[in-house]
Amino acid sequence: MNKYIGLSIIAVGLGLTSCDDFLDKMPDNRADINSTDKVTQLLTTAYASHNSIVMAEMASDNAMDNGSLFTYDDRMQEESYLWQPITTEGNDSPKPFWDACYGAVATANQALAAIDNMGNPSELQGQRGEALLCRSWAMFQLANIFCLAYNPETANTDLGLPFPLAPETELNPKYVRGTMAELYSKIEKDLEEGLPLIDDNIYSVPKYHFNRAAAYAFAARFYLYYQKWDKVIECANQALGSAPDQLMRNWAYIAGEMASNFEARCNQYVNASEGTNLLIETAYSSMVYWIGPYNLGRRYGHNNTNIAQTETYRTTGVRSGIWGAHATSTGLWMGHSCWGYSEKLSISKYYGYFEYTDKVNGIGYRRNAIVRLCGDEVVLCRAEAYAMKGDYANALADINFWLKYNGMAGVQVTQEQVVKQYGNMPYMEDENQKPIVADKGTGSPKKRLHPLGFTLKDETQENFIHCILHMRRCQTIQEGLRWMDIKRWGIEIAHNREGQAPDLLLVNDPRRAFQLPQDVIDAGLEANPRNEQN
Amino acid sequence: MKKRLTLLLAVLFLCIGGVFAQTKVSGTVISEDDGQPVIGASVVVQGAKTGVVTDVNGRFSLTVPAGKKISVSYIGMTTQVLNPQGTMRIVLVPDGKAIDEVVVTGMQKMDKRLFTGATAKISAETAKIDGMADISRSLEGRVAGVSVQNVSGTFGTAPKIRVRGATSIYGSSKPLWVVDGVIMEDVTEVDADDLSSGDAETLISSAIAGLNSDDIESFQILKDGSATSIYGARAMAGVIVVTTKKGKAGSNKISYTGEFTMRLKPNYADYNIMNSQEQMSVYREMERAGYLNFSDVYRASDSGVYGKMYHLINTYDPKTGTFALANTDAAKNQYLKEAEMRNTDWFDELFSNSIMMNHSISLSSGTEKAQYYTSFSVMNDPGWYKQSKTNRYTANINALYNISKKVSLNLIGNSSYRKQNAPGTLGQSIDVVSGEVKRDFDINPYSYSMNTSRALDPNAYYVRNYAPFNILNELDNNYMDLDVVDMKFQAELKYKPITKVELSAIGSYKYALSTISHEIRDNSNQAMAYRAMDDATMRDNNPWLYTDPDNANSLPVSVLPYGGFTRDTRNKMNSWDFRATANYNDVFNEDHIVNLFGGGEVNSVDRRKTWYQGVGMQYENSMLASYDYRFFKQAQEEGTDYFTIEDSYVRSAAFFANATYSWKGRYTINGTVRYEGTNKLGKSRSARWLPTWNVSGAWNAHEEPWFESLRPTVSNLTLKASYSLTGDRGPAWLSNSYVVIKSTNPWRPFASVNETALEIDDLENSELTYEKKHEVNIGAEIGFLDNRINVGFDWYRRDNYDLIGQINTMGIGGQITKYGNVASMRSHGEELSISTRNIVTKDFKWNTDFIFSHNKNTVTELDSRARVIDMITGTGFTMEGYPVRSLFSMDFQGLNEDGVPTFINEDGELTTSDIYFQDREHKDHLVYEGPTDPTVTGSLGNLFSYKGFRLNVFITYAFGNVVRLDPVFKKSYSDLSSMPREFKNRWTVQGDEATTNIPVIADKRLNQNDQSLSYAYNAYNYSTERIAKGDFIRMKEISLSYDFPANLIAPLSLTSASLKLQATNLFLIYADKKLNGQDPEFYNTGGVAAPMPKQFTLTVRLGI
Repeated sequence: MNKYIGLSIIAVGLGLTSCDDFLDKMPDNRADINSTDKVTQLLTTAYASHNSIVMAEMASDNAMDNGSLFTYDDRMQEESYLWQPITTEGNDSPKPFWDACYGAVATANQALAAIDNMGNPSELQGQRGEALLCRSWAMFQLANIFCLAYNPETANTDLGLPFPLAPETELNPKYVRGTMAELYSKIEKDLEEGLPLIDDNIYSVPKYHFNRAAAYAFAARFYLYYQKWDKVIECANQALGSAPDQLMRNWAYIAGEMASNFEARCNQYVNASEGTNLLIETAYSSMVYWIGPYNLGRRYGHNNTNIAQTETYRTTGVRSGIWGAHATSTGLWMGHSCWGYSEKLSISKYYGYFEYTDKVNGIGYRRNAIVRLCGDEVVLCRAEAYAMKGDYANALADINFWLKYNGMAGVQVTQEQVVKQYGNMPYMEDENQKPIVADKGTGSPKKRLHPLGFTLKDETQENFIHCILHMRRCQTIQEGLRWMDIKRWGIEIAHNREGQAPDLLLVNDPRRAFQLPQDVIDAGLEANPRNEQN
Repeated sequence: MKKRLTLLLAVLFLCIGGVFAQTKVSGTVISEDDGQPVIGASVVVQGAKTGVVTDVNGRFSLTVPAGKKISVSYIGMTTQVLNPQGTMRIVLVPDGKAIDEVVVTGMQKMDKRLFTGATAKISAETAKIDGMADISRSLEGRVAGVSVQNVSGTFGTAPKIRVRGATSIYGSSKPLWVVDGVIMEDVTEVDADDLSSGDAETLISSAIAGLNSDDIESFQILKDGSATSIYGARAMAGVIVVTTKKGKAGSNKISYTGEFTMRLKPNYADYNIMNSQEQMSVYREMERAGYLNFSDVYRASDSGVYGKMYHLINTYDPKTGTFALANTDAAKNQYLKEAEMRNTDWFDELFSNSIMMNHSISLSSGTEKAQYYTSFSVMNDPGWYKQSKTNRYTANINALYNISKKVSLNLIGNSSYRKQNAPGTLGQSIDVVSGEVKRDFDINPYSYSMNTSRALDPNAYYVRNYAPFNILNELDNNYMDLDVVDMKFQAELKYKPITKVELSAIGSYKYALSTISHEIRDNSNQAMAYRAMDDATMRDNNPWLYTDPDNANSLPVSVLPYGGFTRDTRNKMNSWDFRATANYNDVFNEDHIVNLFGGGEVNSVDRRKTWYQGVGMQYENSMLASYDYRFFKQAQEEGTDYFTIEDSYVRSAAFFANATYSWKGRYTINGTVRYEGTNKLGKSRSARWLPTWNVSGAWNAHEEPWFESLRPTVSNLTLKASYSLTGDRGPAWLSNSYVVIKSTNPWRPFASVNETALEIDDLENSELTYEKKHEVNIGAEIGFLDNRINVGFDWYRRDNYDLIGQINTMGIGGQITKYGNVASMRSHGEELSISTRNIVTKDFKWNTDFIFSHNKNTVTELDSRARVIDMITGTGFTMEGYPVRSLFSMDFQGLNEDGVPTFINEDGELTTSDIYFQDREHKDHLVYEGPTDPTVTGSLGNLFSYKGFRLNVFITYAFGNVVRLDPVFKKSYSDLSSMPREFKNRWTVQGDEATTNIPVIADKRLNQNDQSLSYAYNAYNYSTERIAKGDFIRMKEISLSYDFPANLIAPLSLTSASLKLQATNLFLIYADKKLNGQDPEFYNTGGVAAPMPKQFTLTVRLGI
């Protein structure tokens, strides 16, 4: 008997070891990232498929309450506008945005892990660069929404976000948020490592990836938010290259020559062949339907008379931008390519595409393509950095360069004009320097600045900043970037509320950081603080 | 041989009696079966308590008092009483009736008295329902604790079988099928909820549809964790062990079985559908309400009587110079009157009474050296309804050869081929926005008959999807052909180096291929819809036409100008199993019975599913394919698949050991350990390998000496208890133990910027592990009055943990909501079976079997993130504190002043249509109705036999669940719809809301005022008003059979002959009145689903 028992034990022992090899077979045809091509293909999905544009636009001064005569399409529009925690989980809500951005980070991490597994070979350096850019880009998006703006004085205590550097392999691991200083330094580290590795030759459709210009454009914006002015200039120079004219939007063609057809102009706007478009992303989003010329979600929006004509791209009189008053043949080109309802005027940036899953019943996904980085905005980043350095000549050159393509009738300006134009403009505030609402035609492009961690030198500098911020606001309208300008310049704004007193967002208001998705808080991540009354 | 070795454990030891005049007797006991010695047979002096047990060589010796006889008995063999002689050679003959005494676990055969788990065995002869080709259906009501729900009666569709209820939340809870010791894998994973979907894939969901029921000898249902623990990590949901027939030594036999089955057509009298007169009066009212007018109906996507009328009015015949129908009130009234009187019987048009036949022939023969069993069967079913023709052929060989006294070889080969037709169907889908569950192009004859107006002319063409439609033509031109091949090759080698040890090796290879070819011919409505553009309005509205986005202002065109489609779905499975086991039996000091069993196995299953669509196949034009490039252009733009291939691979390995010790057969303890690993669960050893185990004990009180005083009042008493851990791999779709990266075509606004990509489909969860279950089982078996009354009772409690459920994480890895082993549930139940032999005389016998089982489960831990729509449709879903598969309802609050139903919505407000069906957060407004699985199931069977006659009356019952009534309410109806008679009591004028809950037929104004009115009507379909109890008592079977006496058939050189007439599913003795004829077991989901028919079967059995 003992012989048999002994034999069985040996057999079982042998069996167990060889079984582990036998059981290593993958249960399906999932891809193992083990080649250059696969890494490249994986990185194609390292870009978030959801965005925060609606949240940011609604929370910013680009929106107002048009009254209960109109409805919102999703509660998140109202909650964003009222700076409340967002409770819905639709495509434009914080939860899918969080999932999408961290999903992009996960994809980048997966690619980086695969590259390391393959021994980090030289032929994968371009991919390594893209992965690092994608990771930092996604983290930057998250930081813009869920953190306060970077403030060198408080960055060591302001809440940051977990920045994972490797794929997650456990079901429910716990993380801590860390600080803004840590978060920004990690983003910077990725950028510094990734930028020199970017290789445009690895892309078949470069405009949907971090091509070299896009990568530097992102870096320029990041350093602007990081208040590292020299780096902004350096990266903007890299992004714009030797022929910056080719990287400016051809508004004269879109708004001047193309037929007045919203769909056609939108298609042109997001076309990969447009030189200014550096990075294009697609998203699952109803954003277009709400901020575009569709009869949905008209309650909160970029009201024509109250905002467009007093604060943004259709201003006249004393509020006219540096490009002059908006009229039939003057003003900004974009002001002449607008559609939609008076409650939510819309520039022809996005068209409402639909991806069908069930054609018979018209069921599918609302999709859109968004230009996330473009040459025009890089110029404004650089202008701001020059202005901050006191280099007004270069700042003015950038302002004029931007005007050349965005303004009608070839407007060019001088330093004195800038200072005078914005110096004469009224602040949009009451006698106590508290922000006022935009629903009485009282709006103004000029809002008092409360810089974070530094002070402005003089009136010239302040007015240059006002001018550049006005241009930025027009440039980035419907893209959600105004919200970041409000945050990083400490701009105070007021939102009107039907039947209630206006709600004011002051400089120290913790609501400048959106609340994290409730599920994430429930899972144990530290929530953003809120004042007691809100 | 193995049987006898294990049965050694069954030995009874008896005391030595007094001293009398005596003879010394010695001898050997041999089995007739295989000529091998019988070990452990008891040899007892009759009338005394003296006896011995045969040793491992079958030898015995004892002293017999003068004039006494000896009785030689062994389990599974007929007891012999003999006169003692000096040296005896006793040959025992196997006794078929003693089958109950052995428990077949698929790996081992054990003496029932030493088996400590909860199990039940039924012989196929008792269970088999003649005329039911799929044997799994006949388990309904046969075993306490096993519930069988015939959610669809279509051949090939598995019934929903649950052993002791659900064991998982997302997993299938399907029991494991083991046939002749080998696990039967499904060719495709259709989970329990999808069984009721009516999708084409359900046709290949039954793993044992290829088994000829005549070849099956018995079923053994292993219920508790102790019984199933040898299958440990796969056996959480119970095991059904099937043993097929084998040849017997010394018996040569040809058997023929012929079954002839006639099914009754369904009858409108059983249902609550309006006749054409009632239906037309509703249409006339709709006409008055602004519907069914010329301009709408003439160009509608779907239209019936009225649409036809308008088309006739608009059809000019230049020859006669007249219109097909004059546009006068008189002519129109005449036309409508005809429709009113038509009263089409769709069941008559689409169903038939034709005879289904099943013929099986088996040959069996055997000597001590070799035994064979061979069978062939042919099933021919011309189809109960159109396009349901089925043919099945099976062949089966089972050969056993005793190479030497120590070595034997058993070869088994099974093959089956099935050819089946089904009505063409697409998958079911849910519009989560408005809450409608639907299927495009559905032509299921049963649901068509139930849902189509009886005012239609069955031979006329009406309009569906803008194209001409006639159900008879459509069924001829749009159908599916199934080809299903199943093959199994199996060999088992046994070697007995010494008598106490048996080594066995078993290997098997299985191959299954099923092809579902969906042929959508040129003239089918489904193909015609792709080119329907009679006028500009229809052209612009027809969603099947294509508008080229690259050409601004282009008009819609057809991408299928000629021909139709051919769509092939192919599921292929190759699998092999290998198992080696060793068994050791011994008896020490005549009192200590020991059995050790252990071994290892490896399995491999490769599956491939391919789907392919051929476009532009011109069936009418000698099968020439003529395709338009724009079809592919459109597909590319919309991200539609052209063809797909999905592979999956399962690898598993396991080691197991089982030890049993019994003292004198009175006290038995048993323990099992299994250690299993599978490739689905991780690379790390910790997650990959799961040890499962059980400990159990049994007390056979009737073996105690003192028990004699209780006999014969109490003749048998066994108590059992077990505690075990078993597991399951969890749902098939979750396999992210390693990151899942798949290819994708990212959506882009323009074709010029398309590229292919890979994406993370699921993050790695290195902690993914088995779903597990702890189970306590306490059971008793009591026999009274010399076992005339047998009572079996089991109580169990199960704690299922590590179940797959959803969890919200911080999402830093890229997914906030993940699936993992985070849920748990608890269940308990009782099972009772009573079988009595009420009357036993020489000629007349009356037996009664009563079976009752109760199971209740509660989900104790689950972060349910199911949407409202998932909670209220189909089989529902669950939340913490509720049973698995609970159905919830919208909270109906009566009709409003317009006759539109009102509900409480997710915000707690009263509303008609402001309902968010996709809400995952707020579900407090839903009303809990009950589980969709019955909590009480069972049966009552009475068997009367008088001489050769046998009458069987078998009633099944189920209680405790709820069912959803058919969703018949809509925001608007077309002149195609049929309506249930409830509509007669609908809201018609203001004030009716006080007396009726049947909503108004919404007029145009209502629909225009509320664009989302369909939400209200869909909510009504899924409201507290549209629910019924699933309770039923069913007259499952009445049969009368007659065995011809031997003297009558001997001249025909027959050894046996019998005739049987059986009626199945005759009627429901009790069901909720709200069901109005709807079968509470059946889910009328269209597609390929059909209810179980009422049927009559004549069976002829002949033996030569």
